[in-house]
Amino acid sequence: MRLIQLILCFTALFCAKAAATVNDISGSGQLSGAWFIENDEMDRVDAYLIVRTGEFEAEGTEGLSHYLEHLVWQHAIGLESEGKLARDTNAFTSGHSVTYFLAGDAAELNNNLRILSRVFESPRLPEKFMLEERKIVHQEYQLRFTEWPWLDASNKFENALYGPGFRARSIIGSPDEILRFDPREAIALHAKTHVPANAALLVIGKATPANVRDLYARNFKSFASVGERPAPPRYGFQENHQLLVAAIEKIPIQRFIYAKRLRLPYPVPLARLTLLTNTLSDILMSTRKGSLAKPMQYDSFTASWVDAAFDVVSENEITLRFSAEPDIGVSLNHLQAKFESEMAALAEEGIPLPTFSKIVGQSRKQLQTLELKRARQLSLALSRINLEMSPVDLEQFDQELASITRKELEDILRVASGPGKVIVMYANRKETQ
Amino acid sequence: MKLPARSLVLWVLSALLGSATANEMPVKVLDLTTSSGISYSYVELPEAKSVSIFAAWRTNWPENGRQPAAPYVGTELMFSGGAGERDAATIGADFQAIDGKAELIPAPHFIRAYLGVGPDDIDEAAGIASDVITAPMLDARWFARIKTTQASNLQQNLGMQSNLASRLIHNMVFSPAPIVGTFSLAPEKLSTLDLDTVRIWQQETFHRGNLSVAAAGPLPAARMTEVIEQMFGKLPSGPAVAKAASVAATTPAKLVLLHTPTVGKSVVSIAGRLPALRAEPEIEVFFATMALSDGESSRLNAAVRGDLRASYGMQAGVSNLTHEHRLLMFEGEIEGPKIKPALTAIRNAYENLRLNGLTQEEFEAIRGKILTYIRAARNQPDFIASSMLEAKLSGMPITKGLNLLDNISAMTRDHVNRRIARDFPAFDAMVKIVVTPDEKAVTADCVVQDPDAFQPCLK
Repeated sequence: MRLIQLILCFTALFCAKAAATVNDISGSGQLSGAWFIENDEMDRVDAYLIVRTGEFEAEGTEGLSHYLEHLVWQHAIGLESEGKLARDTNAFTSGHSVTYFLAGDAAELNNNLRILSRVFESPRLPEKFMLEERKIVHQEYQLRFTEWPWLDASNKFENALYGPGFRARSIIGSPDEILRFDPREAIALHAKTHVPANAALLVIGKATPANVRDLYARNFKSFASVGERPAPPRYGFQENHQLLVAAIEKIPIQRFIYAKRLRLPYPVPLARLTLLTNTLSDILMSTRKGSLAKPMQYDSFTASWVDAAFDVVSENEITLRFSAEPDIGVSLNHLQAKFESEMAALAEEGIPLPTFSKIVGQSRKQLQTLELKRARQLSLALSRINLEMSPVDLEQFDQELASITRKELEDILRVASGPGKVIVMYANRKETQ
Repeated sequence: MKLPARSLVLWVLSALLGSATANEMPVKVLDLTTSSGISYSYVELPEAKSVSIFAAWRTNWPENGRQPAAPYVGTELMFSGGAGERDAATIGADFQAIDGKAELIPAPHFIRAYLGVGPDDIDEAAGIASDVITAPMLDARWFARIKTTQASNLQQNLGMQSNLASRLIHNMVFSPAPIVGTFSLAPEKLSTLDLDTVRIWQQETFHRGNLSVAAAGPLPAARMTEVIEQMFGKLPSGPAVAKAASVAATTPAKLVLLHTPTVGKSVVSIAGRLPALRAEPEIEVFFATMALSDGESSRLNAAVRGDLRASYGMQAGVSNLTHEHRLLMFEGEIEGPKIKPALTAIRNAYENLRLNGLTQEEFEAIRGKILTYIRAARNQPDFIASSMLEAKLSGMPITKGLNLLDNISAMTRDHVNRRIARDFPAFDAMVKIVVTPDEKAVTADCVVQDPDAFQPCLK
């Protein structure tokens, strides 16, 4: 139920041993992909069923994917009372997928896969329960968003950048929409998205490949119909420039928020593009020459805080995001001018070799000093599956890191300094515009 | 489909368990001393890929009525503003290059430090850490920046319902003890803080007389001792700091409505005092809070979400403000019109647990989950070093609990239930806070609009 944005490269845990641990077991069942990662660090086996349509690709009422996730999981696990106290379960909706999770020891894997296979059954729940579940989702909204002071500004910004629809869609929906969710519309969405042809399985833990392959075949090979993968809607954009000014009374913080949608001159595979943009973001945020943080936050005291990141939208499109808060006595206009001049200088001068080497080296070093590799394997596998790619071993991932070239990153920097769709927001702007 | 995410479960466990470093084969704890006299505890783990060092400096700064904002701004300033010969950017770049992980964590009675890095880079990391601890620049521009940022963040968070509830609870349970000011920092304390006070705090806090250190990693003991000397050897001597005196505090058994007319949701927060941390592991508390709120089938969630359909979920946990100041807490967003029945449902679920204990099925399910995490944590330097440090700080024998895996495996339901019955407060003796825009949501013992206007509620 957690609304998460799956992001590559985080709580790094890894060991440098060389064994190939990712087993492709897709051929044994009817899902669009299935993988098993051997890992005996914990004496349990986790199973993730990933439906490859999230809120960003959905149409119709915003937030319905998440409501449907509630209904589907109540249907799937609600029918199981035995062992419910020991069960470790979760489900979460993101922009790109809906994921259902069960964990247990190896002896429970067959039962857990059987429960996960129920995700494809149309939810059979009492009407009263489904209507009440809207209030539970509403409470979840209140827990997560009601007091988040940036909510209105964020919605306005994302709509200007990506809307209508697409990545501007709210994963949970608005409070009013949530209370009006129609269970029939959710069930119709289920029929379209929760089909074997649109789903993948990831198993990670202490088991043998042969056993997992066998259990996968036993539970995911006898569907009367596997359905079809829904075609994701395609969205384009026009190069233009929009200025938004948000008066955010709830917070006393001034902030400059910037995003630029960019077309790439040639397609780059999604996994590669994600790797490149993550590395470039690490460089921009480092305190080395060739970053944005060093000149803005450290050398000049222009910004008290900066953040730079990229959205990978498609093989042909990325979005540069930048946010910063002005230091004492600095105006938002001055902050923006400094950002624009530093970005232009970076595109012109390129990335210094020592900075490039240190940042890539640090990412690789992370992989060498991990005490446990499970979390890193898992986050990498889930992010790859969300990118429509196969999971890779950590050793392969290390090789991918090693293969990054400075030129690839500088090409992206040059694109970032070219034309695009720019959205700028000044939060709590105090100076005269 | 469940609320509690256990992303930090290992850290929570290590904090709860004190010296409970789980290992099927007992680890060997070495008590070592460096050339200049820094004592520390060390577990050598030949297979580990990183070195972990945890340290803490005991302080009675808040007890002595000192500026409560100083440790919060001071730790960030030491950490971010440059140290030794390196300015802020250089120190950040150098530490990032070796993929070092470090924290400097303020708390009312201890300032804790953590350093984790690969063994090949430990000398560079220890050198940087030594500079941060003993020669921070405490630059005026960085001080102003950090103070301003923290003030903005504090202002932003102050009005949030769960923070309002916490502040009211801290006031009602612990006032007028000076330490309450550090549990919920007041904005005016931050705005009146000056750099000289931070300098005094830094000099008074970081010395040898109040220092505890624990480490774990793959280095041989003699080599590790050199590293510890490199990191802490430049610390000046200083007086030992005595453990703060106990604070007499009782939990007012009141139902208080905190009226927030402009926030469109309601939060229920319930707290009761737990005994001071004793010289024994506290795993039983973890069994109880998991039984209450881990997963949809847990007692509070089954009652409030499952049966009553009033909430997305409830969280139960222990707020270890200090070793002496500990609160058992339940909290959750509740649908406004259902607050009253929710309070009854929470009461029934909790009292059933307190009076009758865990069922055998619950006990075994929770024990299985805990053992799974503990087995994964065994031989992790961070877990072992932090556990040893917490044991030292709470006065537990450092070796106590080294065979925790066996101890938990052999633990009985009766033992856990006896501890719950002995230590957990009755629901009727707990303070209940309802933060809501609906002034008539419940019939309260008192109604306030400001968590600092709590005095009438004590009568």
